[in-house]
Amino acid sequence: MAKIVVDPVTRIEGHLRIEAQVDGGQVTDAWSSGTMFRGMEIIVQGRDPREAWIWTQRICGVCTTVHAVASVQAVENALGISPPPNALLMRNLISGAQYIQDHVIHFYHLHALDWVDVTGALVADPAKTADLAQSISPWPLSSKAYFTEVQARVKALVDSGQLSIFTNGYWGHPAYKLPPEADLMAVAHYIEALSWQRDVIRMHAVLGGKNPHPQTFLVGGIAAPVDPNSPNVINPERMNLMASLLPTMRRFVEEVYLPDVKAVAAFYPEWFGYGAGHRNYMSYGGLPNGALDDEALYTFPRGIILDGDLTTVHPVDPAKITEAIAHSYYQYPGGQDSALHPFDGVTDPKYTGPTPPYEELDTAGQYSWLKAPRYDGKVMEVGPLARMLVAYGAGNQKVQELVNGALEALNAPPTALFSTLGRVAARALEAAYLLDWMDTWLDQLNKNMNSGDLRIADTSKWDPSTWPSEAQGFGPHEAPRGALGHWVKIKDQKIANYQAVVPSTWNAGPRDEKGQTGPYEASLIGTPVAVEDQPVEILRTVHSFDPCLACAVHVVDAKGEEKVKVEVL
Amino acid sequence: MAIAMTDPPPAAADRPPEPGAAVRRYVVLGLGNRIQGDEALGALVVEMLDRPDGPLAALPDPGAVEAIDGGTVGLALLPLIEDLDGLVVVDLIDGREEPGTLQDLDGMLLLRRDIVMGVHDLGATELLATLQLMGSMPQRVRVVGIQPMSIHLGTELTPAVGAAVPALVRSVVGHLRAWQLEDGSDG
Repeated sequence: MAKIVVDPVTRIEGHLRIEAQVDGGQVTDAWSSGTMFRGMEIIVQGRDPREAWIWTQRICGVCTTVHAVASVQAVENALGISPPPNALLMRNLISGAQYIQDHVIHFYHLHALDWVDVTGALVADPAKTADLAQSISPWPLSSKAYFTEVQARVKALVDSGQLSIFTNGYWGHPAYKLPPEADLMAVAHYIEALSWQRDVIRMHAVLGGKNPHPQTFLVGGIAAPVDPNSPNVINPERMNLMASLLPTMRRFVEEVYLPDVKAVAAFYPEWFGYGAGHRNYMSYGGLPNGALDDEALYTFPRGIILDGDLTTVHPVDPAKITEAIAHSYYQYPGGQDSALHPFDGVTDPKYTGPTPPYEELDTAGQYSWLKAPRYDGKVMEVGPLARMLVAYGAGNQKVQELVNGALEALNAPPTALFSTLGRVAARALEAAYLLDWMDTWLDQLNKNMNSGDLRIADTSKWDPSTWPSEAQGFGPHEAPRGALGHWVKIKDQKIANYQAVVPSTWNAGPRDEKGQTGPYEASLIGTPVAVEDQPVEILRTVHSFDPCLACAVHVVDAKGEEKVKVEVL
Repeated sequence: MAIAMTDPPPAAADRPPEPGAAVRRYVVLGLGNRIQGDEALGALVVEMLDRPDGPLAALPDPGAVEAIDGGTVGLALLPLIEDLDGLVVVDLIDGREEPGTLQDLDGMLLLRRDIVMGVHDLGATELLATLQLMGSMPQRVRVVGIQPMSIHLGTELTPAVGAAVPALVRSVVGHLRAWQLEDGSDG
């Protein structure tokens, strides 16, 4: 029996640490720990609620826009503001582009190398690679000459000793199952995705006013004026620019991302059997196609799936959300075993863990900087898989077509979705699902502009003197990583309390006062580990959630010491 | 409330060349999390440089330089820094020095060290390595930074780091000036 420690899991210093007990070649227990304090709530106390989004979008780099959306929606909810359709359409376009970019980047640049062996790419036969690529997709970059060139480029970097990005893999590990040709194809697409994403993000530059941090969010709407006859606003020229980006998004998702996910999954069928966890899934729902609170018209339905039962979608009652701290480095007035609703949430840090550097966490006591969110006392997984399952269960026709098509192609039953690869597949299917919506949203925005509906904001409550002396609001949003909620209490025109429960807190949180494991912890149990000091299998399952423990700290390491530590204790 | 929209920054290849002159592009990229104490360094330096009467105004060709607050956005920054004539990254640097120590490194040398990849929240070295893989490495890269004191929650720099900022800005401007002179920009 051995205990394996992977720290950090995101390959960046100080965020997520996994300790796993391994017995007989598989994980028998696991602990997930956020190793850094995130206290954005404290930063916004006392500030003007209209500027909370500016601060909250700095919680997390890659997720800038999602916190801005959740924050303005929380304040709108508190003050009873209904943003006009154009504002919601533009928010959806920004969100949709974010999803599609994020999912592709996650697959190729965070996750693929858990499945793809770069050293395989170096020995692949380019002609066979071309045959493989052409057999699964019409994507034009698929000739023998092209793969020969990619292979030479990667080889040149390896030979120069500078293949920096790929240096830290477990290359040659027995858990890698792809033929070399699939490795080479995936590495080529890894590089292509880097160039592709630059076009996708231009959507944010057009609608966001400024890149990389959009400046156009606004309580009540969006600060991007729409006018067919004016320069420097959203006008026909910019509509055309956005329209030209959509086919670029679509082709890569449909002809590269989806076929690659299917191709990789086909070589790892056993991974549809690992990583299920509790099989409770929650989606707040979102990306509205009607009024902000018109759930029936959400792009992603709101709901809960319990214990893997896809025949019943349960409603979400936001009043049933709580956060426990029994195993977290915080204290509540009601004691360590109490739980609080986010409206009454308290962020009062109290570190009780070992003094770093330490070998092991105190898993019997407090061991994480994350709280443990629960819904009605139950553990919930959030994210693309949760959204696709809720939509599937709720009878969303397009989602059912996509999911059933993928299951058929992989010859897998619906229960296969409750797994590590199920998360990977759901993310790709979700990107495909959003492609049509992107077309729809842009088309509708265009129609509104041409019919003279140029409203972008409801500013009737912009002036704080129009506000009640006290108000509170909930801003639910589906971020690429899952259900995100901001809760705001406003008193005398200032923020009196603010809480954000982010997707990775739901998924990566620790045990609660009843000893219930968090989703990462539960999903790791049963995961095979072939080589204890190279636990690529653990990374596969944790990375399948797209872990992102916010507020990255960027310190350039001038001494180049090893940052990822894997220890067998 | 409504702000004027600006054109999205064109990719390097999309920029029309000016007749008779090579178009030069230089970027100062501030990295880091605005709400993590000394991590705000990159953003604050960019704010200082971005003012019309700021320190960049004295350069031979201030118009060729863009100061960008990259936050912790990661790979989404790539289109802004591909194929440049010169890139200065401003970030915290851990060189096991005293807090507040200014450090000025050759970006190419950083790449020879062991690098870890974390796309979600990746730092300067990972960005550079990715540019290299894409074949879009800037002509010159400097990574200029300061040894941090505290990266705990907060929106202000610690005094030790704050005191080193003027020297850091001089260093950044010095690189840009030297590059522009080398590239034949006479103002």
